[in-house]
Amino acid sequence: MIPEGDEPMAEHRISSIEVCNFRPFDEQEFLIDPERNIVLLYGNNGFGKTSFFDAVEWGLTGKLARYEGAARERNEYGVLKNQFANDGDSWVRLAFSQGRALKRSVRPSGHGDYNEGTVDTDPSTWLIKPEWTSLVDLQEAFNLTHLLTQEQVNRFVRSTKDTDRYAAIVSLFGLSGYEAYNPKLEEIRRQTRQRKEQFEREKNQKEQGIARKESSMGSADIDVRAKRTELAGLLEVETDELPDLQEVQRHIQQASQKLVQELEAAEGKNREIAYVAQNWVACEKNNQRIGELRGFVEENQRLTNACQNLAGCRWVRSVQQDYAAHQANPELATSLVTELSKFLASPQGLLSQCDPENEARMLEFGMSLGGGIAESIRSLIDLRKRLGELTEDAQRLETMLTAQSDLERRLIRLARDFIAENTQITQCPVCKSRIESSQVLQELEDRIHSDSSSFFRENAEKLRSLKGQILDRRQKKQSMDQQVQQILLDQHKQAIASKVSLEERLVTAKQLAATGESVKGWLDHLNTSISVIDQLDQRITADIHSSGAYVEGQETKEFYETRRDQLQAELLSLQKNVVSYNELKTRHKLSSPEELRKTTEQAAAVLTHLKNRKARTDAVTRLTTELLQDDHDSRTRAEIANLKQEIIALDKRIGACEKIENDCGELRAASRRVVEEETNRLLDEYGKTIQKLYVHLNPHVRLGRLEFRIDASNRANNRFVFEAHDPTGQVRVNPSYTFSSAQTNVLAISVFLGIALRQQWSNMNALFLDDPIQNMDDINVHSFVDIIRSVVRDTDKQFFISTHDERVFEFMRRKFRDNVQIFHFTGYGKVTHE
Amino acid sequence: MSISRDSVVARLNEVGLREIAERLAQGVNTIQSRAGGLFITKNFQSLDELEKGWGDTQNLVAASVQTNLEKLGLEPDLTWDIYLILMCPDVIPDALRLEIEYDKFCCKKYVVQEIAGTPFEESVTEEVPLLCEWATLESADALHPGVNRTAILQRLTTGIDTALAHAMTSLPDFESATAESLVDRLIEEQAQ
Repeated sequence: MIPEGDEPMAEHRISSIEVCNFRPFDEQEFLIDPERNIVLLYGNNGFGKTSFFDAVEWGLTGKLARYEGAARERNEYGVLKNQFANDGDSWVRLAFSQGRALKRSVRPSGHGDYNEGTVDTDPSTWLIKPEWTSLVDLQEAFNLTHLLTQEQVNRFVRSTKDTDRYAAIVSLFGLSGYEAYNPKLEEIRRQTRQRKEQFEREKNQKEQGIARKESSMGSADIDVRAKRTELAGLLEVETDELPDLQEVQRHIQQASQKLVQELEAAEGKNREIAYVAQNWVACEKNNQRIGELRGFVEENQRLTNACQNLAGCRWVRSVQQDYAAHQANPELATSLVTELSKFLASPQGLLSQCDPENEARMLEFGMSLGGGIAESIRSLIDLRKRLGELTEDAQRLETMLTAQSDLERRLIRLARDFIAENTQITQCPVCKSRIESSQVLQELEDRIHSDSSSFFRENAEKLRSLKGQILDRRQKKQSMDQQVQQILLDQHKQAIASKVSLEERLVTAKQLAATGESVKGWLDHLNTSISVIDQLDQRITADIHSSGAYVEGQETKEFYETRRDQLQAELLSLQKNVVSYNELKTRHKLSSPEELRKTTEQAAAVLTHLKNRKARTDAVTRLTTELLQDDHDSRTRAEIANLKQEIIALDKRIGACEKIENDCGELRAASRRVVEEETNRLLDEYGKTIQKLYVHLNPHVRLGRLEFRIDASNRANNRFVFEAHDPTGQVRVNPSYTFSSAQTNVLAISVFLGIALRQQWSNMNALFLDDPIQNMDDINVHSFVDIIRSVVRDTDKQFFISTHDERVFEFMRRKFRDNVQIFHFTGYGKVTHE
Repeated sequence: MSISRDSVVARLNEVGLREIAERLAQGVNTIQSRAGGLFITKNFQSLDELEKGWGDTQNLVAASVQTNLEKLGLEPDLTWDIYLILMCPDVIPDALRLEIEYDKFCCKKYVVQEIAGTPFEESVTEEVPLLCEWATLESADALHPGVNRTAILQRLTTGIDTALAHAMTSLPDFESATAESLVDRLIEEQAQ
C-alpha cells in the first residue's frame, strides 16, 4: 500500500519479468501490477517457483549463488536453458518501474550453458547507489538483502564461519572502503621494511669500514716536525729537501736487504776466524792423536791377522788329533759298513725299503719280523680267510632261498593258469566231488606256504646268524687291520731312522778319514810335521801376548777386528775436522798467529761498520714508516669522519622507516578499529530491527532475545557472532548449534528482513522470498504474514513470496486481501494469473 | 477504519442481540480496527482473572462479533482479521502465555502485560506484528554517513598525526602512486 501524498518513488520496483527457454519455462511473461505490493507464487513443488527467482537472480547478477560452489558439475549438464524446449535463444528480461530494463541472454558454450551470458545493460550502474559503487559487489549484496532462499540464509546463519560472516557484513555495511587502504598500507610497510634492511646493511658495512680503518691507524700521535728533522739528519739533507717518503721507504728497503746480507757474511767470517783462533793449539793435539790412532789401527790389524793364524794352527792340530784317533781305530769305517749291510739285510732293514702303500709286501715283511708281530699278522690272515668262507656260505644260502621262493611262485602261477584255463571243470574227474576253483587255489597256496615255511624259517635263521658272524668278524678284521698297520708303520719309521743314523755315522767316519788324509798329505807336502805347527802356535801366541794392543784373554780375530773398526772411525772423524780447520786457515790466510791477529782485527772493524750502517738504515726505516703512518692516519681520520656522517644520515633514514612502519600499523589498526566501531554501531541499528522481527515471529519460548556482537579478540580477523539469550541475559547460546530448523528459519527471516529493510546500498525496492515459511507452525506463519502486511503498509517494498502449501496460500491470500497479485503455477513451467 | 465499543453495543441492540450487547458492554473495553484488522482489547485486573476469563472473552468475541460482522456493518473478510488483545497488570507466566497465544479458536490472541506509565499503544505495538511501525526505516540514510573516499580517509586518519596519514589525505596521487615511490618520498621527507 503506497502512502497517500508521497512523491513517486525513486527506487526501482519490478514491473515485469519475461523469460524465454529458461529453466522450465518456454515463453512466459509475469506482468506485475504496480498497485499491489505482494506477489504470491503458488504451485506444487517442481513447477518452477524457484526458477522464477533464478530468473531474477541470474538476470540481475549473471550468477546463481547456490551453484557457485560446484564449477565442474554445473558445466557437465545444461543448467539455464529449458532442456525440453526447441532450439532457440534463452533469455531473461527484467523491467523496472522507473523505465529501466535489462535483457540477459544465455551465451552458447561448449561445456554446459552455465555462464553470465550477455547483458544489454549493466544493472549495477543504476541499481547500486553511486556512492556505494566501489564498496559492494552486486551479486553478493543482492543475495544478502534482496533474495531470501533457504539455502543461502541457512548457510549464512548456520554454516558460514564467523570471520567470513563478519567480512560479508562489513561489505554490506559499505565499510570495505575503510579496509581498501590496507593492501596499500601493507605494501608500503613491506617496501619500508626492505628499505630499512637495506639501510641497516649499508650502515653495518660502513661501521665495519670504520673499524677496519681505525685498526689500520697508528696507536699514538707523533711529533712530525722532530721526526722529519731526524730523518733529514740521517739522510744528510735539509729538512725541506727531504725526498718523497714513499720513494725513501722503497729505496731503504732495498738497501736494508743488501746490508743484511753483507752483515750476515761479515758475522760468518768473524765466527770462522774466532773458531780458528780458539782451535789454534787444539789443532796440534789433533794431529798427534791422528798419529796415535793410525798406530793403534795398524796394531789391531796385526793382531787380527795373528789371531787368524793362531786359529789355523789350532784347527790343524785338532784335525791331526782326530786323524790320529782314527788311525788308532782303523776298522771303524769297515765295522760301520758291515753294520749297515747287516741292517739292510735284516727284516727291519728290508722293511725300511718297503712301500707302506703296498699292503701285501708290508704283511710279508711283517711276517718275516717274527715274534708277536708275525703272530698278529697270521691271526689277521686267518680271520680274513674265515670271513671269506662265511661270506660264501651266506651267498649260497641266499641263492638257495631265492630258488625255493621262485619255485613256490612258479607252482602257484602254474596252478592259477590251469584253473583259469579249466573253469568249466566243476567236478573232480577221479572222485566226482564238487570243485570250487578259487578254493582249490587258496588251499594249494596254503599248503605250499605251510610246507615251505619251516624250510624258509630255518634257513633264514641260519642266514641271520651267518650275517651276524660276518659282521662281527668284519669289525674284528678292521680292528686288527688298523693295529697291524700301525705296528708296521712304527717299525717302518724306526727302521728308516736306524738306517739314516748308520749312514750318517758312516759318512762322518769317511769324511774324518779323508780330512786326516788330506792334512797328512798337506803336511807332507810342506815337508813339515805337527810339531812345527805346535811351534808356530807358541810363537804366534807369544807375539800376540807381547803386543801393546793385546787384551788379556782375548785371542779371537773378531775382537780385534771390532777394535780396529772403532779406532778407524775415530781417526776418520778427527781427520775430517783437521781438514775443515785447515781449509778455514787457508781461506782466511791464517798461516801464522800474526796473520790471525791482523785478520781478526780487520774482520771485527768491518762488522762494526756494517752494524752501524744497519742501525742507521733501521732508523730511517722506522722514521719513514712513522711519517707515512701519520700521513695515512690523517687521511683515514678524514674518511672515518665522512663515514660517520653517512651513518648519521642512514640512522635518520632507518628512524624514518621505523616511523613509517609504525604509521602503517597505526593506520591499519585505525581501519580495523573504525570498521569495528562502525559495524558495532550499524549492527546496533540493524539489530534493533532484527530483534523486533525476531520477537514478533515468536521463535523460542525461552531464548527470545537476540544479540549481535563483534568479537575482536583474534588479532588476525574479527568475528561476527550471533547469540540468543533469555530475558535475564544469563543463558546464552549460539543459535547455529542450538536451534531447530524451524527456529533457525525464523532467525534467518529475521536477519534477512532486518538487513533488507534497512539496507542502503541499492535503489531496488523489491524483495524475493522463496518459500520462506517452510517448517514454521501456524502461529509463526500468522506473525510472518502480519509482519509483511505491516511492512508494506509503512513502506513501498515489493514482496515476491512463494509457497507450495495450499493452506498457507489460502491464508495469505485472505490476509493480504486486495494488496496481493497471484501467479498460479499449474504445471511444469505453466503459469496462470489470478 | 475505527469503531468504538459503544457503536458495536448499539448495533448489537439494534439487531436484537441485547444479551450479548450487555455482556460486551460490561466486559470488553475497546473495539478498534486498525491496519486492516479488527482489534478487540480486554483488560483483566489480575493474573487469576486472566487465567479464568480469557476463554469466556474469546467465546464472547466469537459469538458476538465474529459471527455478526455483516450485522455490525463490517466486511465479512474481517473474520480472518480479528485480533483479541488481553491486557493484564501482572507478570504472565510463559505457560499461560503459550496456552493463550497458541490457541487457534476464533482469532489470534495476544497477551500483553500492562506496565504502569507505559502508554497502551506502545505496549501493544511491541507485541503485535500487524501494529508494528516501519515508516521510520525510510529515513535511515543517516546510518551510513560516509561512504566516499574523503569521508573514509577523514575517519581513518582522525587523531593520527603522521606523515603517512598526511600523505593519504593530501597527496592527490596517493592511491595511484606505487608504494615504492611513496616510501622513498616519505623517507626523504622525514630524514631531513
